[in-house]
Amino acid sequence: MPRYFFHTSDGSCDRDDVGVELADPAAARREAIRYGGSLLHDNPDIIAATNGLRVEVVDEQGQFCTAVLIHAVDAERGTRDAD
Amino acid sequence: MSEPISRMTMHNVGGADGGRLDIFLRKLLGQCRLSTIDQQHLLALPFQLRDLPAQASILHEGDSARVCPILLSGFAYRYKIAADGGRQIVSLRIPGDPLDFQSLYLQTIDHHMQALTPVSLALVPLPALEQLAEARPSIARAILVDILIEASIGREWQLNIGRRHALPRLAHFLCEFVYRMQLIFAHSSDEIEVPITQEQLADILGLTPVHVNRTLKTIEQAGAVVRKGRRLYTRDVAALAQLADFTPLYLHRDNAN
Repeated sequence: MPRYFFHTSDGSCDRDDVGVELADPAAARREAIRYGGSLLHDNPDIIAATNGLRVEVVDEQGQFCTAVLIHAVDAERGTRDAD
Repeated sequence: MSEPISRMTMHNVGGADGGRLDIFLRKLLGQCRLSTIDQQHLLALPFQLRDLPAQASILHEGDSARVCPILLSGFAYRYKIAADGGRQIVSLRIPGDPLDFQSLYLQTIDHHMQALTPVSLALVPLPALEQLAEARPSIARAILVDILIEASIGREWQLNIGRRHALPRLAHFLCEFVYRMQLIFAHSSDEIEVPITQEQLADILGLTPVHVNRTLKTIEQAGAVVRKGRRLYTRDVAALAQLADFTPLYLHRDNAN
């Protein structure tokens, strides 16, 4: 089975240097979504940063496969700074 | 893959074999007190030795066991499988652990068990264990205490998987592993190899393997574990305990006092 790597960025970057063996790009895509979900479950504030959360799937050749992007859009942008 | 141990019938069971059950006795003595005579009876239990490779099946759901395997060396785990193939590891067994006390009292095995590493098992015929438990109430009590403590660890795992975030969840599991290993091997070194892959840790912790990898990296940066190639070692138990907010009360180590 091919190996896929899951890099994340949420303000700072976290490069996956181990990867996981999965059947195909579709399985890697599902894994990326689930991984993003569990990061959010752990820490909802992960997307309070300006950049949101990005989980990027890359194959063994370094080829880009999928990116899962999660953003929150607040109604009143100035509110947080005013607190 | 060969037949699970739970399908085995035993024909020629040898008598006591010089000291092989010592680690099992040590495990029980870490949990409750036993008189010298009780200890002698336990060491005199008949058993057959069996070495199995990693991944060998030990218990199979739905079977009715005739022997109680005791783990003399190596590691094994209990697991259950969901309809979609998802696997949850529900218990880790370490050297010294009896693997199927519950079949003394229950007809049918309700989960699977597999060898995590190569294992050496002592297969004790259930009738022999049953007779001993009936004849000696303090041994029956030691068996009950072992079952109770495993149930207590199971409750802690429920809390761990259900309510702790990835970092304390992984740290808690590793901390428990070190505490149990230190107790059975009576040593105090913080550096213990964790013979578990990231995929298996994912099945223990209900996390994705990628999340386990990321979390291990964080714990390694805190100096609590160290990875050498694909091998994982604990390094600083106090740091792990702090990350996990670990209290060993549920392991009932005061019970043997």
